[in-house]
Amino acid sequence: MDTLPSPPLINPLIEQLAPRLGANHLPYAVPIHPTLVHFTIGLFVIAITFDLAAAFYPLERRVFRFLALPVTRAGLHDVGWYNLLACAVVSFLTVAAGFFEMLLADPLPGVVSDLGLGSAATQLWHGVGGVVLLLVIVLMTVWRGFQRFRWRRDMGRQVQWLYLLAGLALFPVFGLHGTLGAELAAEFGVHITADQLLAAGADLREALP
Amino acid sequence: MLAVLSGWRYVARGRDPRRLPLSYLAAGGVLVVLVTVQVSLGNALVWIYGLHTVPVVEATRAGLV
Repeated sequence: MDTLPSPPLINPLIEQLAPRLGANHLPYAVPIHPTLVHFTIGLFVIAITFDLAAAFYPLERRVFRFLALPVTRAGLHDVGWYNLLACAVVSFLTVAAGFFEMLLADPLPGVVSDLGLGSAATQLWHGVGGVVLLLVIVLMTVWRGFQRFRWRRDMGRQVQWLYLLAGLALFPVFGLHGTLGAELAAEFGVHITADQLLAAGADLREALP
Repeated sequence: MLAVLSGWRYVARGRDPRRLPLSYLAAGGVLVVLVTVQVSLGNALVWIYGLHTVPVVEATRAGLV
């Protein structure tokens, strides 16, 4: 059988760094961005959820009293604020790790995702979208800070309804954005040792520990 | 463990919402270590062994893995 010449590496970064990279094209065993991303999502969702709980506190008060839970409205808002602040901080690391790992990405050729996009389009949407979402998170944090420390300092409900709506509207955006990222892994095999070994023609029974 | 810690936290908060027992924090620390181990195992399943990724599933169906 004729052996086809292996295609040249498109990514010059991988070519230069090849001696230091593993089969997953990273200088370490598992990518960092996919772990950090769960902090970004979790902290944001908890932040909005607790501010929602605080906004509807008058309706919930009886339930808390029935359960003998010493819950205060200010306490719920504290959770909302500090989780959003932590989300804004950790998201810089999420995006930084994402960009480092995107520079070293080597998606499987010829694949079209469930959303009908190729690897380049998926990477570009996920990369640019990630920066835009970081900006949105920071803006939401600044907005939340102004409400907490200036505009609504003396009010029981610390956040505007519009802020809560904006936060809720971001949930599906995070969902779509996360789907693009998940496709880069599950369909395009980016930074997955087994997928990259398979693409290189290796026998997984021998190549994987 | 999460359920037990939540129950413990509920009782401690009911007694005095301003004080958290040191032993509770220690147990929380142990849980953090366990969660970290779980995350590492899950990471290995996906990022090393390609669990549920299209190429590995296809190779498994083709009898290559």
